Amino acid sequence: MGRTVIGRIEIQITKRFGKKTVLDNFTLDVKGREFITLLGPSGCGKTTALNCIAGLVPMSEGKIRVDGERLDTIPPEKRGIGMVFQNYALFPHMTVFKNISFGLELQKKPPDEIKSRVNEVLSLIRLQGFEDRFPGQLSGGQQQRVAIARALAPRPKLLLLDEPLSNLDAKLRLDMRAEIKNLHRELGLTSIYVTHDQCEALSLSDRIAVIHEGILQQVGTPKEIYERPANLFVADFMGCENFFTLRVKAIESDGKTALLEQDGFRLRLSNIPGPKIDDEITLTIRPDDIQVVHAPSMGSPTSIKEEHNITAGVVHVVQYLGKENDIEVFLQNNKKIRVRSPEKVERGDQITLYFNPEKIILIPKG
Amino acid sequence: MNVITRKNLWLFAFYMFVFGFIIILLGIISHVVVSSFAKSWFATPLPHKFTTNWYVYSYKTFQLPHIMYVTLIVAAGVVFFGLLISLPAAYVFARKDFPGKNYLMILYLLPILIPQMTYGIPLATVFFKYKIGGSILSIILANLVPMIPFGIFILTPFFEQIDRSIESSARMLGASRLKIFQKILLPLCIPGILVAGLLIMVETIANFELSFLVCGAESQTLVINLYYAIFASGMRPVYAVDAMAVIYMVLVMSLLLIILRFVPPTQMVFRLDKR
Amino acid sequence: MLRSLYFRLGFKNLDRAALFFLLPSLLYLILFFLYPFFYGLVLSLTPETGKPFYQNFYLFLTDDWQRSTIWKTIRLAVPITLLVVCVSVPLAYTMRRGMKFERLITTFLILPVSLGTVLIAEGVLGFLGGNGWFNQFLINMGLIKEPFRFTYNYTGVVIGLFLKNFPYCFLMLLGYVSGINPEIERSARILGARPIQIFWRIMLPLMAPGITIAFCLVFVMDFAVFPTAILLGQPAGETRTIAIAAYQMAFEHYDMPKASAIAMIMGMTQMIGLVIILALRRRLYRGTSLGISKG
Repeated sequence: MGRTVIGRIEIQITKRFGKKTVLDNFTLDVKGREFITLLGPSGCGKTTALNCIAGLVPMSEGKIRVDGERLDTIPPEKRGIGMVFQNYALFPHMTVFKNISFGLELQKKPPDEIKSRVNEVLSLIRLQGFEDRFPGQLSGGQQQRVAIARALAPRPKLLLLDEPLSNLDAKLRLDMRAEIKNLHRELGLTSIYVTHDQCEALSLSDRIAVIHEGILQQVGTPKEIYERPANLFVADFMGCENFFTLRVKAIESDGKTALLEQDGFRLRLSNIPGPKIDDEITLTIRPDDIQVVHAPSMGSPTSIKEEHNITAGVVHVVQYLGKENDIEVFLQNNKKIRVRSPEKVERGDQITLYFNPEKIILIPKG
Repeated sequence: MNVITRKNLWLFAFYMFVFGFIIILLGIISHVVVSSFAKSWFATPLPHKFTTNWYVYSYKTFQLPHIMYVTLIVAAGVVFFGLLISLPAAYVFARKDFPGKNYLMILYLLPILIPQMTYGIPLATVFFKYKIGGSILSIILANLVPMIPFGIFILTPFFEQIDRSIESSARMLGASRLKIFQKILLPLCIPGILVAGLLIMVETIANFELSFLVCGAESQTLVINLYYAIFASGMRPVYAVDAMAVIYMVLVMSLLLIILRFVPPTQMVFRLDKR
Repeated sequence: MLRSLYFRLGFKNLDRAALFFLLPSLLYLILFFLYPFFYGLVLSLTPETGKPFYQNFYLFLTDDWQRSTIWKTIRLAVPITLLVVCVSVPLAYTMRRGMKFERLITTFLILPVSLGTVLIAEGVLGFLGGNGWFNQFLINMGLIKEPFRFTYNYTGVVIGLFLKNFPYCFLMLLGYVSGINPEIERSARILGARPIQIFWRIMLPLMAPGITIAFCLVFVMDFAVFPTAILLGQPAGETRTIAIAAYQMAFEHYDMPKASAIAMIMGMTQMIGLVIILALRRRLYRGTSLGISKG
């Protein structure tokens, strides 16, 4: 496999462990130079998929092709793929230099080339001067950078990252995210990243593939995944909280606007495709998108123009988050929802909430 | 009694017992040492006259150079082949789960659980039948039977300690399995090899039953000679026997000093949490 | 090309390598352990011409003097094992969180384990013999008139075995107990349990698997007692263990079939003993096969 940049990777994996199917015809097309993230909860099969791409785990069925040529018939050590592991997996008995040069030595590169390459990579991760240290003498963040450097030193065309940041503390994670994105762009890599953290996925990726129990749920840009989740699972995983199932009670004369109701909660939406009476619609709205239009701290109630998309509720728990409050509200039908709002409310307050129809996310069936 | 006093009493009894035991131990050892330097000694706290002649006597009568040679060759042979054979097996046990693994482990436990007499006697019979009985080779072969599983049980945890992802990362960097073994695994399990080797050496030198059953006139180890000397101590002066015992003690204790630099005593005995 | 073929076959070569690694040890045990063992088994079932196949066993079991070795061996192994374990458990428990002079104590205790049975026997013969320091000391202090008879009898074997087994068992249990998560104890104390209660109701059940294994190992070592029984005991009398009987039949009478039969009986009796121990343990601690969490 040459050192050229990848054009396209076609992935098709089915993996079974005994009777359990961990990946069910998982199909993904990765574009060259793209940063794509496999996102999902623990045990969904994302790490297994990565290991199959790496060749560390054999597939039960399927094919992996890079620019048309089969990858899965080649043993992992010959695939020319770089991989970064969650626990860094640095060789404890070798110095930083030897760790990074390991891949190059196996490629039988001449010593001067090795030295210059290692120095080049060390400066990329800003750890010049650390060549003679041992992994045990480094901090977590430094170890992770060395692990990345080690994977990049042999100039792989594809980089696989298996939750590389989950062992770091929050601030370090943010810094490292930026570094990884930077390196990806600078070196023109194609990267496949695995994580369970949706914030990471959203901030790093060109595209995200959401996986649940071995089945691909949705593939799209971060914006698509966030604003238009394809199903309940994706919406829930991406942080949507307030889920409603309402029935279409009436349709207005324009044929598009529908009135939905359930237990006294009424919504008026124009974005339902082809609404029919008695249809059941599942929808959700993010806590930040619900407005507190009246609370006791706001003085006497003013008249509210909207007839629909408002409801009353009782405050149950308030958590102060600094910039805003995280409020648990019980609606009239005893449904519990979560609202994020800077308004001052207290436990027991009767408040009125407004659900902006433009912020409501429809969840397709199935 | 309030709690504090009861606890102190308990601790006191504890220390008394432990120290008492150690004193008896030291007493036993020193008795042997003193006796080996005694010209003659009978019912007195210390001998009246001391001499080193018994060591010379021992040296000549028991043919010590030859015995030491036999003992060390046997030890070296068992350690070398024991490690060679148990190392790869330990790797497999640490890394792979396969059907029948538990049954295999029971098989490997058998030479440790079944008395050495029980399988030693048939083993000796077989050896003598095929004309290798009585040779140094037979002692090495016999001792390997319990020492290979022993080595496996010591080495397996060392391999388990090496994270699998280290091997995976080496593979992704282009290393073949052989290279991984050579450059990663071997260096990382050198402490384990050291521990296993030293422990096997101590066990082999101290081994009695198996070596006893397969040995011949020319291939007796130090322990066996010691046994015969004690057994026939009517014919040999007890001081000479004790001299030989001291030589044996010096050998084992010097090995022990080396071992204890690397291994705490609680790891020198069978690991109970292996199951 | 060939490698990729193997690879496509789903890592069959990986399993092949694993087999290759296991093969030497497996072959070795089959050749030098299983084969002799079965050879011995067959031998033991090979009687003199014209006699039934169980002849060798029959002769042993009907000969009073020979059969008595079983009882003599049990009479040695069981009390010693009980003594060793019962002493080791509280001691190891006391030292579980480290003690003063711990390294020194454990270093001394590893001595009898390393020095072996033969040396201990010789040492006991001298130190605890009729004219040894122990008796001399007691006589000189006027505590006793006649020296204690510690050697060439049952007591001698007990002492010899105890000297080796106690440190071994103690060190095993110490390693095991130290591995029990100290937070378990701490939470019990906060809940109000007294030290004795903690020991009986929490720690002891947690230690039960380790104690059982230690018991089994010590039992195995004691049941097979050979040189100690000869050097420190009465090999022709009350400490004639079954190992001695087997040896004599093999290398003094050169009757291999009968010797193998004795060896088989020895192995079987020991296995029965182990089964009894495990069955007892199951009855005492039903449902407490907890995994030990490392602290």
